[in-house]
Amino acid sequence: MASVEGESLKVILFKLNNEMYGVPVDQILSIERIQAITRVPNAPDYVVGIMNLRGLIIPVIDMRRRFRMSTTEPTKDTRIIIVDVGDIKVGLMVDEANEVLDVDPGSVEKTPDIVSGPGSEYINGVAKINDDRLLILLNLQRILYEQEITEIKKIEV
Amino acid sequence: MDMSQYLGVFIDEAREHLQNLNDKMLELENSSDDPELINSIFRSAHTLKGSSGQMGFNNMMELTHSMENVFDAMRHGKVNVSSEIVDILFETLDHLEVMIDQIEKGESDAQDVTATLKKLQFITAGPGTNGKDSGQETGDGRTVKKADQPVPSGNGSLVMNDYEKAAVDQALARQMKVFETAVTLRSDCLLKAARAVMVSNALESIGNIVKSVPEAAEIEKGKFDRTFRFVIVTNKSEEEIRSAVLSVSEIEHAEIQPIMSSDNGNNRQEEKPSGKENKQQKQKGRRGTEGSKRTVAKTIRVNLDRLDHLLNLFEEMIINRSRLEKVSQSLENPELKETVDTLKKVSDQLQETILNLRMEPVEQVFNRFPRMVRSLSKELDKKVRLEISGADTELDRTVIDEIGDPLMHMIRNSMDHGIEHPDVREKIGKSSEGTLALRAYHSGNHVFIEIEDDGAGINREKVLSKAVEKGIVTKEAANSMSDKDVYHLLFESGFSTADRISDISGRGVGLDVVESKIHSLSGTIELNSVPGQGTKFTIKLPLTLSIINAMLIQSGEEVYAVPITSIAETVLRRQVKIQSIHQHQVITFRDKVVPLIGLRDYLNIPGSESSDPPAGGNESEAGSIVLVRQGDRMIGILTDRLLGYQDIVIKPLSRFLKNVKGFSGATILGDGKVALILDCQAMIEKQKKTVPNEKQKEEL
Repeated sequence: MASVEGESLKVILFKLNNEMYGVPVDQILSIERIQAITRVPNAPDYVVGIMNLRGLIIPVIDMRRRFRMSTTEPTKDTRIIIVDVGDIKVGLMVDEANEVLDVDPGSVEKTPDIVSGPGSEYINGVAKINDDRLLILLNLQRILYEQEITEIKKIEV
Repeated sequence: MDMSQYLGVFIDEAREHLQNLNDKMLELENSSDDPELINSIFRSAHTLKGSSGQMGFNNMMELTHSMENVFDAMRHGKVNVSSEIVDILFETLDHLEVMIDQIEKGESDAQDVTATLKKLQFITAGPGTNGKDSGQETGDGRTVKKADQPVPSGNGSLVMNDYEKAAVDQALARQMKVFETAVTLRSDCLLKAARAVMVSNALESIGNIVKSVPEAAEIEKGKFDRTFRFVIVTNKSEEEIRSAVLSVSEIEHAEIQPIMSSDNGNNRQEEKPSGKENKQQKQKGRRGTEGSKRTVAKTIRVNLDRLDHLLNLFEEMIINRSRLEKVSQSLENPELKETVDTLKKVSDQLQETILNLRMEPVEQVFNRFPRMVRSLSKELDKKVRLEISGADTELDRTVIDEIGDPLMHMIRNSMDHGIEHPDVREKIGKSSEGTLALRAYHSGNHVFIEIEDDGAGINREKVLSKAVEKGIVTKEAANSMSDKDVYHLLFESGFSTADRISDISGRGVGLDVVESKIHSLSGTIELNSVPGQGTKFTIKLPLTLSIINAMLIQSGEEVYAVPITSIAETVLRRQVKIQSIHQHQVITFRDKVVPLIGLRDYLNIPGSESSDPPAGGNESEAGSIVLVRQGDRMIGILTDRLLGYQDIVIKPLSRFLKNVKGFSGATILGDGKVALILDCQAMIEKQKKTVPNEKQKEEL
């Protein structure tokens, strides 16, 4: 999904552990405030639970846990980004999300070797934005679907 | 011709005709001299040919045409019905079915049918006659057919088949105009076919051609005299059509008449006195009686997606109704309460109506079995009579779609393992023909389907020795097992008692797959058998799958739903004594030892107070136990509180969570929160694996 070519890339920015991440706007259905989430026993630890999004049952993923970062209690800034990738709709729980940004595809670099580490395979690239901030572009396809394969091995209830 | 909008109608109708052909052909084999039967078959084949040609599925048309010739020859006594011919005809039907499946998937109707076509042609040609004669005969057959049948010809008037009528009605309902356009070419016209195609193209550019007489293929080959007719659906005026037609050269005149209803075409034609008419009326009369035999009520076809959408909207409403009920309870306003009560009554009725819309007779599943039994009996060299009853019993569409394969498995099973060979049967004083009964009926909120054979029954010893051999049970356990438990072994995976591996069953996949399928439909399956007299499978299925009544239970802060169909009983914890056997908790309930599962432990529910009571200790008396059952197995679920019964809408868990076990779905509660629905079957299965019931009984 390295949509590096083409016009400018519209992404929604969100914060996770003081780092900036971006997800293409066309994969996003809505951004929700934190709300009642029902725990799902036996689910992987990064699945917070399921929520009711206007009649749809949506699983919510704690992105901090997903990337094995330290976890925190939700704050008033915590948001759930509802994404739709393939035929899976999930909510991504993030620290903060409020900005939409045009990213010049030319400024996107393939993942540099330095950021290789846990979770690096879920990254599409890194973009430099205006004031020299670094923006990590996520590969949602990878995050949502690869999990299907690994989960089968992990879960045996 | 763009007929895509009528494709759905065509497919549905084609399937109906195929089913009719299937049914009638089975009858035909037994009563080959019934002229009405052959006529009915012929009509179905003929309509099928017509509509497939209309839709441009030429392979299908060619095949049905050859089949029609066979029926025609039968009608005129030129060919006698024999088992071999019926076999070939069934083979043809199989091809047609595949074609329709392909068409439905959006593919072409391409199929290699040359072998079947040859066989069909061989029948009509007749083995006794030489080539020349046979050619005449077929030709002759077709002439007879033309005179006898209301086959529309270029000069004839329009007779629309059901499918075309539906198309016309549909158009009229959408405020479109329908015209019959009769175009006569000049007598000196050289390029008849080309002109006709140009007219057809001109009309296509301003509307849709629903019907053409003669059929499009014939027109293209120029197989018409000078006049051809189209029925066109358009929103243009009569004048616009006329000018479109006359824009093509070499046309003598064009006659355009509006059609106001789908009957119009036929009515008009009845006014014209002709020798042909009597026969047509007779034909129509026959068709009428045939129709009235089947359905009297008026019906429309509705896309299943629309029904699903309707159900979704209704589900939303149910959720909000529950919310409203909650609000009304807390406000204690009598007026509000009354309104909410009325709303509840109305929506209950609405629910019933909507769910009824999704119900379809189980007939469409049962229909395929007579043929299957026929071919299986030949294959197995057994005589089996299939008795079907309750085919009009209705089931949710989703269940209908899923239940076919399990039933097929069980019928195969009964025929292969159950019913004995004719000589064996005679030796033990049974009639040589075995009976397989397939029954469906309603009872309460469930539909029951039974498959019963009068065969050998289940041999307890044989099953047990096999089970011991396969390591499913130990020899010691085997001796103390009840008959029911022994029968249940048949549902274990990898179990097969057939003496020899046959093609029919005993392939290792079988009853275990059947059972899991039935469970996935929230149903249960039971097996009863009397050695020497037969075996009976009973499948119990819920009427609907999407809205169920459930008990809401709470442990800690979490709320779960338990489908009422799984619940046998609920008791207060202080009413029973909890004992411990091998670190497993059990209660004695009505003289039965029932294993107990603490919901908190089972689901790792957070909370300070553990519901895990020390055995025999003076544990807290709070809490309730929900006894859930599957077949004759029961477990108790220990929970903090029962919140009461409620109608809930089952929503599937996201595909993202598909590996999470233990829940059959989720539902949205009155307060908008989500609750998981416990999969009681899975809980029982899991419990069964950890501690066998029998062992506990012995040790108590």
